[in-house]
Amino acid sequence: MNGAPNATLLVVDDEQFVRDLLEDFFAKNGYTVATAANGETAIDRCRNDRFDAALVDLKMPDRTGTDVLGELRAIDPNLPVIIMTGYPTLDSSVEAIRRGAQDYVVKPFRLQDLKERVDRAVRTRALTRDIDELRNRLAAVEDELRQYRAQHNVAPAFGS
Amino acid sequence: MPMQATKPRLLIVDDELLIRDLLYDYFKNRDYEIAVAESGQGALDQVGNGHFDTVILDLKMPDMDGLELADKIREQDHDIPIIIMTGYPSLDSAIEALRRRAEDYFIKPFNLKQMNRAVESAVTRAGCTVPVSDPDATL
Repeated sequence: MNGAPNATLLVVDDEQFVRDLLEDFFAKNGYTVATAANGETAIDRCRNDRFDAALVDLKMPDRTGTDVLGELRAIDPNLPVIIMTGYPTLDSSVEAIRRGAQDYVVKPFRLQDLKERVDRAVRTRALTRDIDELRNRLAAVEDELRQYRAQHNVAPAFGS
Repeated sequence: MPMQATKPRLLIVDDELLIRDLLYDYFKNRDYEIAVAESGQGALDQVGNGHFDTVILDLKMPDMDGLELADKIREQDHDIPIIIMTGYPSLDSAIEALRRRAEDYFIKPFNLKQMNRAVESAVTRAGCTVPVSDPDATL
């Protein structure tokens, strides 16, 4: 199995051709795909639905892809966002680092390469979620242990 | 006397003495605990011997490429925040830095206040409390 079955992907690009191409390709590869033609719609979609990854074009009429990246990650701090651009620059790639992009891909790209990057992003997100859950469970167990010690007057094994 | 929080630990890696000294002095004044390394191997030895909350590393060093060093550091400490600096910026190295989850990418000469902000954000993410900055130490 490659990638995550039933993963949800948000595709943000002002070019209809690119949206259609990516929607079709990722849907055929088992993704549930939503699209947005501009930054505003992308932000609305992200507020209303949870996505496993987002592909965001750098150059859109209403705002830059790095602004959209910042806003999407403000809504969902763990969302992996992959920036796509036909006009790569050092400045925009550095800006993408600062705003926490997962990846930065230059058009034209091979769809298979892009899919590998999206698959990886989705797997990373799933692992991050698992780690967070395990940390929370560990914290809960430690809490119980502390309460037990307090109730039964047991000294901790190690100095704290 | 109130208990002091542990100081965040920074590792500064650059083969240029001037940059090492500059960053050392700047962050020492801001109450960080600092180690320096002048080579990739030196940095790996430091990381092998103790925990760091953030690493600032130069991309170009005689014995090792900074991106390769970032990979090797992450093999030892998977989540350690890494800030890249370089005098030879390029789109390719910025994209590679992004893919390695770099916190930031600074082009020399850089603004120390911006570096300070990046370090504060990185050590906070690493779970540290940011030391109180010396308001007089402006550069």
